[in-house]
Amino acid sequence: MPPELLRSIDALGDAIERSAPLSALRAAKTTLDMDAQACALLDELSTVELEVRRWQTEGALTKEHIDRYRAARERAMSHPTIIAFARAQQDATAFLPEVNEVISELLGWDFAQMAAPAGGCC
Amino acid sequence: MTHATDATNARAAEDVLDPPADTTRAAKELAAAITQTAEFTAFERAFLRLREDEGAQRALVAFEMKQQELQAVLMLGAASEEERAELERLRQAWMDEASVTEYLSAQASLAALSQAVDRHLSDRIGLGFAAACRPSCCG
Repeated sequence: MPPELLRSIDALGDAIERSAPLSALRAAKTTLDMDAQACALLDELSTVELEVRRWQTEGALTKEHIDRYRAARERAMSHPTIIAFARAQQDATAFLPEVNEVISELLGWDFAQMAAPAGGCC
Repeated sequence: MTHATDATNARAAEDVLDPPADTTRAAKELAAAITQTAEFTAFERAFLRLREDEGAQRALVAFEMKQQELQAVLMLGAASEEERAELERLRQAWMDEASVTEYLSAQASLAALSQAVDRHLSDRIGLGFAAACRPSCCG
């Protein structure tokens, strides 16, 4: 990659990092990392998620497993620190298409679409 | 304090206080840097050549007309072997045009460059840039 292009990527990366949505995300992540209760809830959710996937693969998934997953998810998603982090993450993600529009307008084609790896999201 | 230093300090203050302007400027500079690459130049050249290639345009029209003609039977899975073979022959005839081959190759190179730019930027900001810009199918 040409050095000039690398410098431009780094400059945009720095500018995005300084932006309000990304600063808010960093702050929310720091708060989340320092909240032991929130981290424990996310760890629990992650463990249950892995178990559910394993049971699903093995064809042994039951209603009880799904209820357990739902309960863990509800506990995690109703915690204020996790809610704040999820909102900050949404805001940061919503900001990026605005940046893409600026790039794409000058190029004459959708940069993100050209760069996005093939494949669906779900 | 010199005027130059004043201007630098004012710009630094603006960068801190007005990040969207800072981001917009950096996004424009990245787009300008992309336009200076060999991949972008080759893509533009290939695009113009394809647009002006009457043979390739005719081949495309022939393929698209056949595709439209067979749309209903293709959707129903009722197209005959001959109809499918004819459609494939027209598609291949279009793909075999030199300007089409050049365009598709240039597009693939530009996509590879865009993916590399996206990877670098995404690593830098800790979020998937292009992935965040795609419309979500998950609602």
